[in-house]
Amino acid sequence: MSLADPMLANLGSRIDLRKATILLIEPSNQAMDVLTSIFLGFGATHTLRASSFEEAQQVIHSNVLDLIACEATLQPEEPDGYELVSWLRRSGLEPNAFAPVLLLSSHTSTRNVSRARDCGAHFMVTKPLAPAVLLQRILWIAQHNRTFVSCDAYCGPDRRFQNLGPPDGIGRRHNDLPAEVGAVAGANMDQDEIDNLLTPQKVVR
Amino acid sequence: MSSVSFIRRPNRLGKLISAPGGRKLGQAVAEAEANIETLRPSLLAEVDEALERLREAAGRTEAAAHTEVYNRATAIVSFAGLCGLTRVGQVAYNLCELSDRYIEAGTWNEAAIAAHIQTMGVLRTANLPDDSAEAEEVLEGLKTLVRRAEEKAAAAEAG
Repeated sequence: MSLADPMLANLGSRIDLRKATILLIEPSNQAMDVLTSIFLGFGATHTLRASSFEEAQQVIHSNVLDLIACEATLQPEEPDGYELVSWLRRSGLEPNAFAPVLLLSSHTSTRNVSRARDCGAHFMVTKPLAPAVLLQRILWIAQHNRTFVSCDAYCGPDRRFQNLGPPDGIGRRHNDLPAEVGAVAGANMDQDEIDNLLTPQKVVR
Repeated sequence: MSSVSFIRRPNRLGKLISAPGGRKLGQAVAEAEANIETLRPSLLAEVDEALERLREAAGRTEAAAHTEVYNRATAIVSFAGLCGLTRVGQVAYNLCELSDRYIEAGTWNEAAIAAHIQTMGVLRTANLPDDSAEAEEVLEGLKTLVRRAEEKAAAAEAG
């Protein structure tokens, strides 16, 4: 979905989180204060909090969520944030199983970033949290409604950010297009036609 | 061959946050930053406490203490940058990387860990501006110390 979508026309310059239900999962009280302060600054009025895996599961079961911000490392001796997201994606809970998830972590090693990608999170945001970065990620999620992919090995938002075509030019799926570009089917559109298609115009009566 | 399904769901978040009204993006960021600023004293206290716990953990030798070193270093990374201690946060991040690598490999280099903790202590108490030449020198010194400690450990293992 792009900014051209009239539903998202306001998104370029403003953000309205007043009606969004946001779940914040953070085991440290101090870090929870930071996270809450940021979302308050963004204008969020309905934030739910959880400090452990179990608490988070309970909140997810009993509320419809629009966004989840989850610390990757939860309480010791219990499943972590990555496992929570994996569980959520396969939980079958509508619509929460498809809720956007931001994983937050102080240590973004290659291993942790790979785990975040493979568990089904939308983004990993590194700590210390910078409000501008967090806001940018939220806007990106709102503007790009990623299709969800579900298979044996993965369940979550489509991880492909670039369309590079099938590997080695050979498709494996029935809907993969061949690498060869077909013959031109008609004349190119001129610039006026393109502008008319993309630029909203007032109709003068 | 496993089956793959592609599922499209309505963009609930996009519709909600693009409703007319709300805050300008610049205003939202400024308010969030101002809110964090009010937490500065407690965040500084949190960094100091994590440093203290880090020193204690580094003095112990059992495996749980190594995990504690890693956890305390991540806590410092979370808060130091939010209360004007960016350099302390950078050293803490290096300590996360190092301790994580040691834990994975089943090794531990006390001298390298101690060098990080001492450097954080110096940066915290000296109150050096992040962009000062002195802070840069302290960090360069840390790199040298860690390199020497690792070379020494490698030599001891080989010999």
